[in-house]
Amino acid sequence: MGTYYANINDAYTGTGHAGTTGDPFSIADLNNHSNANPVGNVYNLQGICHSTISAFGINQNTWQAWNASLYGPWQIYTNNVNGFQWVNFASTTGLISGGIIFSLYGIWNIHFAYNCFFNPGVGQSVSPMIPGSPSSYSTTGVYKGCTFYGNFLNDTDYGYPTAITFTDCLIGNVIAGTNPITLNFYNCAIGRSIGSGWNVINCQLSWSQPPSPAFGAAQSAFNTFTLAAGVTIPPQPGNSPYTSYSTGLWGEARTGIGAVWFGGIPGNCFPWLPDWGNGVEMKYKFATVIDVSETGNEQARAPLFSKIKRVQSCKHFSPSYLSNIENFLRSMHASNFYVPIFNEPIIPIGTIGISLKSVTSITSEGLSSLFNLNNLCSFILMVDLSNQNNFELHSLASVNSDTQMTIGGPFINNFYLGKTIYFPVMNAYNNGFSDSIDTPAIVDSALIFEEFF
Amino acid sequence: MSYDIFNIGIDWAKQPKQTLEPYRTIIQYPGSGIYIRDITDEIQIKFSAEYTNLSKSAENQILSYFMSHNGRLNAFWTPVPKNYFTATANIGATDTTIQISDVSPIWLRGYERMFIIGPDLTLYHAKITGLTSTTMSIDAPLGVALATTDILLFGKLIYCRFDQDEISMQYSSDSVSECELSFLELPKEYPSS
Repeated sequence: MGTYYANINDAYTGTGHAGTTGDPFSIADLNNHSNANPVGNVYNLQGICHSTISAFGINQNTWQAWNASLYGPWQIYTNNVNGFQWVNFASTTGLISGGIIFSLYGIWNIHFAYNCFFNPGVGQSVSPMIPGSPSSYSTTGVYKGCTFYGNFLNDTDYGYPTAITFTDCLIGNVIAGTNPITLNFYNCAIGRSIGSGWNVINCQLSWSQPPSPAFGAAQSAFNTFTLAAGVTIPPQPGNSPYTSYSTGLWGEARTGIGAVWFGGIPGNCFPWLPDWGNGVEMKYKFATVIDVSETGNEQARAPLFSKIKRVQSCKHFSPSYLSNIENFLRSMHASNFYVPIFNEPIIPIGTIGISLKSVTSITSEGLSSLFNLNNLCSFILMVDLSNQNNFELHSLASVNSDTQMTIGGPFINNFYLGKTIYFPVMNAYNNGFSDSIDTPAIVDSALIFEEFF
Repeated sequence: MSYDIFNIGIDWAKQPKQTLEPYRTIIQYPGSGIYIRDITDEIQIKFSAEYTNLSKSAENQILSYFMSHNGRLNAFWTPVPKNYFTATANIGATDTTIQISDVSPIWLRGYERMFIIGPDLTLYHAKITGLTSTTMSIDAPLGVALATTDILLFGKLIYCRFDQDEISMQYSSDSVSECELSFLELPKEYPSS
């Protein structure tokens, strides 16, 4: 058992490398070594590999990212007709993590995967088994913080797995309807309705998965804002502290579900509306340092903040969302997220459709009178008033007039006239939470959100 | 010179407050002795006012001004909402001398500006170049004829900064807000012209 390093970039070739940081394995070395030493090794991978082979010798070893913060995820694409296959499918200790795997013809024998992105090809499946090989049937699959495109499984073709668990995953589709199978889903967004025998906890069903980035696409294409668009709370932000999969694909702290890049644009939003009976306060502040000379001259002044900082205080009287609010704030205690500017609600008056980006909206005085929208806002939060757990965050492209603004898409869900409200948002963290408990079921939560920059 | 003036209507029902800020040291010796050390005789004006029933556009105007001046960082002009003077005769459009009632000229230091708010709430201003107990000389005519009965407010325009780095905007509904603003004069920093 040992720890080895591999550079799987296409341009890094040859065999006989030592597997050290100074002389890492090539992809051929990696496969050979991991097959010859099938148990208990840890391989740290970096690079992007286009492969024409299908069998990858992971066995009962661990393939993981080699300093994801520095090198990003390891990435393999195979166009072999046998797809991407993990050698020794029956492994109970083997693990892949921090990788991006694309195939033209399916991805198979995937048993233990954390923080991995899978795209098996158009119409293809990701599966813990090998198609057409009954002897290869496995009963186990554990997936945490992963993103799945295509289908997961096709049990008619592939067999009878009995113990598969997904936690904090983004899953495009699952086909497992006819055979006796137990699938456990915890805090997952799934692109279909519930299936027979499924155990579903804190999940979002019938989620429309956004299109996959291309293989080798830039880091920004994998941001959570895009790839987890339309995901509600729950399943976001998942099961913190995300033990064993606590980062995203580029080594950043995990703040939500799926294998994505959690940087750039915060993917989490606080969509619950306050109780206006208690009013709302917004502070706008600088922190200027003033130096007064002995003659009273103020000549040396400098701002501590480079721009104005906002602090919003409000109360939430929402028995329906009590656990949502507290659980969200607990999970986000060390993270920033988007908070609506509650005092600048925008009521849409135009028809809202799934593809409509130019929205006709009204406020009491017109969009140009809204300070935050026009000065300090890059994103708009759409909240479904009939279910405030349903929301979408979109970029604000432009404020066109007093009655119209243009929002970036694509929209994932349908929002309906009379049941939707828009807010400009700020990137903030929670800086105060106290409950006044009226009855066990009715609680006033006093919240403070301080802008994060 | 061009004047960067903050001039938004205050809520007179909430009574604006003004104080003087002497810059001195007071030492209390044991027994009965008190010593006052004068650091500067440039006494600052400080005043605060409440702005209520703000529309979204008025709120936007206040916040945009506050943001563009970086809180306490950048100075500007603002009228002190107090009648320092009373005109005793109508003012002609080309007049550079204004007849006023009995005023002590002692405090004139050479940098002061006056302002008048006319009947349509327009603010007119000029630099005070001379002051006696009954006349005020200004460096340029106001450009408008004003009868004594047209004058809503005749006071001092001060060069100041916000005396707060934070505006707390209170919203009782999503369309109406209120806040309090405080201003501090900067006597040492008046422009020369």
